[in-house]
Amino acid sequence: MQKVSFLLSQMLSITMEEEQEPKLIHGSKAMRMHTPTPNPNPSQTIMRLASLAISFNVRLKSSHMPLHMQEHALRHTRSLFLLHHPPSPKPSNTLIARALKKEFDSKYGLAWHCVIGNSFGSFVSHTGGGFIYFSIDSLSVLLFKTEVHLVTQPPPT
Amino acid sequence: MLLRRRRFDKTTPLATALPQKLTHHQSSFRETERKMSEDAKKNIAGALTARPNSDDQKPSPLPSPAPAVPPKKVIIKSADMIPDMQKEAVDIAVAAFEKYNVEKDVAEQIKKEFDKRHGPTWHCIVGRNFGSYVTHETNHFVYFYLDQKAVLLFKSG
Repeated sequence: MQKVSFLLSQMLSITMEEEQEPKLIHGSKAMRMHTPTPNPNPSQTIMRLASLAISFNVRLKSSHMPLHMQEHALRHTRSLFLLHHPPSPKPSNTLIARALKKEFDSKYGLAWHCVIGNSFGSFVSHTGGGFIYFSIDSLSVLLFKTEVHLVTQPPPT
Repeated sequence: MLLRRRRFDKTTPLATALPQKLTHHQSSFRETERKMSEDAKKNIAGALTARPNSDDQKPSPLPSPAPAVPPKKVIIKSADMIPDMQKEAVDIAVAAFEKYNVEKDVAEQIKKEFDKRHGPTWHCIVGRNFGSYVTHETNHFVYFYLDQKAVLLFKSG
């Protein structure tokens, strides 16, 4: 699978492909281009994804991922936040990142990586169809996938 | 565009076209708390070489490699990396922070330098406030603090 590099920050999202950042209002065009497998009802799925984002108070900033996986990411992240019941302490970003990564590892294969926070910049490479960057409430969430290669030689010491 | 983003950003928005130098990077009020509690964690994928899960390494301060400027405080929080490579990561990070003020540019510089020197594929996260959970190759992971900024660098894929 082809690897694509993304340049990210909480304030700014640019793709090396000079791709315009997909917005919800333009989601139809941008997201459809990213779907490897054509969806029989793309507009319907995109509409559901957009309404989900609104109800979850989520802002999808950039994605390179099939629509059903995007929906899964948004739903699962929101559910992780909903698990928090006062007065119990709010789960740390690390725990949420862990849960989201493991969910995707188990559902869509190894290896996923997740970063969640208020203030961070990043530069990562990911496999095609394995990247999403969105904000939920006041936090930004970066979730991406890399290939896993079988190790045939002992690691260098 | 910038006005709309302000509702989500906790940090000062930057112009997209022109690079700006920030003397101070504003962050959330939870910075101190988050910084104390959040840490990058490692997870070894099944296909990668097995290693013990526990990490009993203590944070060890390293001397600053740039004596000309006020020395930056370096703390290696967690590492699965040969010492020479660790020092290399710190040196490259120090140079990147001197050259750039935007976190994503620092992350880009570090990742690309490591892709060049040690082969693809590396990933880099830089910021004041983030939690993460990633899968990395054996002996290719480091997480350290450079003054107020945390740097996460690992190889995967």
